Amino acid sequence: MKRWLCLVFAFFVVVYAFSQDVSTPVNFISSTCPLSADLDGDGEKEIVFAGDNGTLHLFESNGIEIINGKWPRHISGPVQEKVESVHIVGKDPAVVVSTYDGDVYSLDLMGNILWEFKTGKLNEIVHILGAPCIDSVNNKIMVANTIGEVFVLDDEGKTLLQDRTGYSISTTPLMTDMNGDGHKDYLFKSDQGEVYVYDGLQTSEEEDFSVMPGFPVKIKENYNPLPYPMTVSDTDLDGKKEVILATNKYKDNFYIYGIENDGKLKFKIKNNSKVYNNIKCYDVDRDGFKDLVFTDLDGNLNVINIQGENLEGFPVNIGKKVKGSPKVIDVDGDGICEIVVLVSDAEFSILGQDYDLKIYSSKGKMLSEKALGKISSEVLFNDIEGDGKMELTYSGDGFLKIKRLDIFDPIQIELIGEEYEY
Amino acid sequence: MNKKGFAAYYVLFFIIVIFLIAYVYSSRVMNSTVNLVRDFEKLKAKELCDLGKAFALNVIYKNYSQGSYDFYKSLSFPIKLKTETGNISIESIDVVKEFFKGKQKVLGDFKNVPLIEQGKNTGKYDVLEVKITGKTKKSQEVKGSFLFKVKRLEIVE
Repeated sequence: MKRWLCLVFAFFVVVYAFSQDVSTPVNFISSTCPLSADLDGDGEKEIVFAGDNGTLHLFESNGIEIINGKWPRHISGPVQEKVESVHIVGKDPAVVVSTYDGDVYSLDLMGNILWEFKTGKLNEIVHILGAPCIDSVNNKIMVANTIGEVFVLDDEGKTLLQDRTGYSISTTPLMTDMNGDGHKDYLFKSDQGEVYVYDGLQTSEEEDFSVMPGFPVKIKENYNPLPYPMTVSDTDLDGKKEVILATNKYKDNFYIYGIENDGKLKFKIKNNSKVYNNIKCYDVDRDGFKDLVFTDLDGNLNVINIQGENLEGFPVNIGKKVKGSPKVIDVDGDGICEIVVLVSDAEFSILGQDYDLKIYSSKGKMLSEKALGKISSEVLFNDIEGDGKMELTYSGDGFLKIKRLDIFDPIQIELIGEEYEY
Repeated sequence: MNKKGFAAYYVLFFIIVIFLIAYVYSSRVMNSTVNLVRDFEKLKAKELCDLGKAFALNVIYKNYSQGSYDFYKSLSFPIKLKTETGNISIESIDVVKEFFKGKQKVLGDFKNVPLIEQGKNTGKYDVLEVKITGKTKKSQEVKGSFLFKVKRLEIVE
């Protein structure tokens, strides 16, 4: 009898343990976004965190750190922005990171360095802007450094393209098919407020970056000291993509620009406050046109259409400091999106600030608020467990944490009576 | 009457009796087959009703999730749906003015009723009545009436 009771107790302990959020002590501080990918092809995702001291750490999806092979793996310097991966055909995916010191690394699951690429020459001080840009279809990796050099590499680290743009790049570059010709085009923003788009098809034929007609587009208010990434989206679903970017203060005004793929201005929207981080494009009101979702430095969560009109229920004052961009996710799987933001009013601390997760409905109503504790890294929104539900993975206060993104559903329906007439 | 005629009379009598028994038996078998088919069709019609109930539930949930608490007023009824086994007709969705709880008749306008749970006012609720007709291809019909208590909780976690 005792044995049975022990077994039942053990079962409930195991069930309880698996139903809880993961919290594992770690000995590093990370300020970048982790990677979650099935690196060994076993159906379960692994997590890679980059410590600010230039060390990469590998974890199982249950938060247990893998300390074998060459993990934790030290590389030449702190990783920029986030850890990426590239899927090599016929092989397991490889981890790809770019370092502040201007190097790009690819590592396998055992922590072996598959290849290393230096963007700067010997004794040349260069830094890479942001994370490597991955073209997962063609297995290409693009990086740009602060002296305006751009490199496109294959999945073995060989240079496919290399060009000096002749200007200093001020934001993470992008690779996306702007004109629908099936080739990824290259997008950069210079520190002088110019948006450059290079034709992927022309570039691959000439082996040199070829600027698309209509570009560069000079935006006079576009001097932006912070490297906020541009957003590319087909907002009106006309088959042509637009480059969307926010400007800095100009004559007491802030603007959001939409530039068409021929360099013509699609929209210019005035905003009362500086846009914080990059803009998300999503059809929030489900009218067939994408809306712009962003937070600003006045602590507002804004959702506007491309005519510049606020959507019903917005803006919402979230009143605190916002981490990262808002995420537009269908949290409860009802087919209607929710907007998720991370906000804080805590003082800066090296171990991270205290953040709250807030979930808003597509009508601007707050659905849920959850304290997440201290967060130092960027937060990865990903389905780690593969159960179709989103989890948040981050580090802070000396812990790696994985939390489920649960929502409070305000609508509950009970069947209280039924009658059939035959 | 000779012996042969007497035998023929008895044979005829037994044949008639056998035919009568066979007729009664076969008509009963036919009746139960018809009943069985009819019951099966009724069951299919009830299933169609239940399918309509699930559809209506989904419509109510999605509209309430978007804040459309009076959505049914702008709908034109009946809403007709076609399936492989028959037709579903959502006859009406409306707020309930009265209903029976057991044998007790409960009266009132069940719209925006304060929702009290564990002594706390946690939001509001409506009681909606959904009337559905399920009709199979062989014209068997079942009508269903369903009461849904739709809670709108207003307390955040």
